Amino acid sequence: MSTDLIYLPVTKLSDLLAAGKISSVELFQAFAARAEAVDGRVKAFNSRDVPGALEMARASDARRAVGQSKGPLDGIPVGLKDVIAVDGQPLTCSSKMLANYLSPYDATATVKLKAAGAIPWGRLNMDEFAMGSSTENSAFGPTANPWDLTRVPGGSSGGSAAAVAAGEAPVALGSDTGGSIRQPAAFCGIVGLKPTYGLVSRYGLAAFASSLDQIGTFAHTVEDAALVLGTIAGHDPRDSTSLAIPVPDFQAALKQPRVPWRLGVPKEFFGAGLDPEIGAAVRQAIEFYRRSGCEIREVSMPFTSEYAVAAYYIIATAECSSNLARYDGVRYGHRSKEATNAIDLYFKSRAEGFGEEVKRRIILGTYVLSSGYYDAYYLRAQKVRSLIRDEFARVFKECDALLSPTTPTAAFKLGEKAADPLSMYLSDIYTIGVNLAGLPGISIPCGFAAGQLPIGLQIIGQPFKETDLLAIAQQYEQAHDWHRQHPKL
Amino acid sequence: MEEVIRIIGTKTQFLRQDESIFTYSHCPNRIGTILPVANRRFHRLFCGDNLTPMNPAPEMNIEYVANLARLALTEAEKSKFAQQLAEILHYVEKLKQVDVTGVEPMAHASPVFNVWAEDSPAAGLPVEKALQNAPAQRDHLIVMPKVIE
Repeated sequence: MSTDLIYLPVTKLSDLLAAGKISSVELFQAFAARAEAVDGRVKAFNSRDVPGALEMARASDARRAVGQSKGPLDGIPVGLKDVIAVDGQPLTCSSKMLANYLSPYDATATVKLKAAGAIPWGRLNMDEFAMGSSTENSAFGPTANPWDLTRVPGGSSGGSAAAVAAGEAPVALGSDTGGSIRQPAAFCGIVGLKPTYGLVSRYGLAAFASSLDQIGTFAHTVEDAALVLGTIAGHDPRDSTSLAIPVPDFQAALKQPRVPWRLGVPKEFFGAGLDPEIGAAVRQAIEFYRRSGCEIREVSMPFTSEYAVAAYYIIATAECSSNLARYDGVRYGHRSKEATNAIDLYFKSRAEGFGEEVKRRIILGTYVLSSGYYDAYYLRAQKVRSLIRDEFARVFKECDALLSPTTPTAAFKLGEKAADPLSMYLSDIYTIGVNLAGLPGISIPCGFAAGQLPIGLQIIGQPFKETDLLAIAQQYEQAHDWHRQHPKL
Repeated sequence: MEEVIRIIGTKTQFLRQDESIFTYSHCPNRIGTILPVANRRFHRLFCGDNLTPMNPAPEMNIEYVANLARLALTEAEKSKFAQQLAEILHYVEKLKQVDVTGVEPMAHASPVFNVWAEDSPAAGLPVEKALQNAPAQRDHLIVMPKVIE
């Protein structure tokens, strides 16, 4: 029974719960047993609080028994990337710096999940402070790709993607700063949704690059992604960048009649550097939309394809160096035992607490913000960012959404890019522009490369048009069965 | 046999027969080290650069920057980061090709400005909870080494 349950979409699981065919406790035990059986190999979790989750499952069953269910997420386990705060739970950001940190409060996304009856399930591995594209930059060791344990699951939300792909959680939350949801979703063969900047509150999300970070969802189906997004979205006075606009009914939007969408295909995203198998699978997906009556328009985005990665690594590292200045060994986090005075405490606590990629980015970010270099690097990158936003706005005048590969290659081998940061940064080449422009993007499975390595189709939407984005994604999903294929573990 | 393709400041770059580029750094602490930089094909594909003459990679005074960041680095880290960051800085040099005359800088993508909160009291964290992660505390205060000798 349990192996049948673990790969059912949440929408189906909640039907089973509502009909009394399973209890929330039984459901949770199926995922806990799966994690127990496979996580020694996948290593998606940094930690799992089984007794705490079981207690919440029992409370959910008790509510349902008296007709007070909180809705479709009541009693559903939701995996959380170890960067989103849950009161009383660890929040390590996969860093030695926060190895012993316990959250004193809930993130707003967590508050909303709990209010819907969902069960926060485990702390999922990631690249340290969300900096990386492979989940190898974790102080607790890398996560493996469930499709091929010798390969990376992508990153930075690799633990979230791997947990869902391996059937250890039905859905999960991650964060996406430059592709950190879409890229691991592509590598692990699941749905990964990064909402428009400002749709989901960042309160309680440990900050990496505040102008780019956004919480989003991992799921097996587009409808599950819509369900979870509808739960966590909305204005929050505690995040001044969250927008005070009404949250649409994302699931209802999926039931609207199909529209002949105008879909743009940025030709530069299919240029040199793209693995031919990935390109072929994505072109087949584009053909599907054409056959379905959509209008396919080739568009040109030379500016984004040429400059997005460079602008991103200046802006993101600048913001990272500023945000991570808070880790000084004084109020919380790792404190060096070797320090003799206050200044020495900062230097040594940070040296001992941060891993290599975080240090590298702090140095780069500090440099581009430093006196004499600010205008040449940071200010110029912010201006280039304006031009990238304008380029997206120009193509969206004639397109409802854009189609592209999510990644230039399928999942690479563990260790393959570890010594070459620039090569790692370039693996985010198709996803980064979306964050700079603040747009919503989704990756959905669209085939397999080299036999068993999933391929992702990226769909980029207009700001706050998640309803269109999800409907376009679901149109493809309903005509294909990639999302029903699962790794053999 | 390697072919010298260019000498820039303190660095000499070689193109090898397998198309990889190697940088030889003349920095005093790194004499004799030959480090892989980037595969030529990769470089051409992603950087649009056929190894034609380009701007020299900017020099970063890593000790100065690490001091600004209050981050103690080992000699090995300094050497490794100097090499890697030079490569990354060289990559981002391409932004200098862009004409940004009259372009407004973009700080974030959210169309909101000057968000004000009501000045009304609300419950905060209890002291014990606010201090639960403090490395050292006494009498509801955080303890740390002397700031002034």
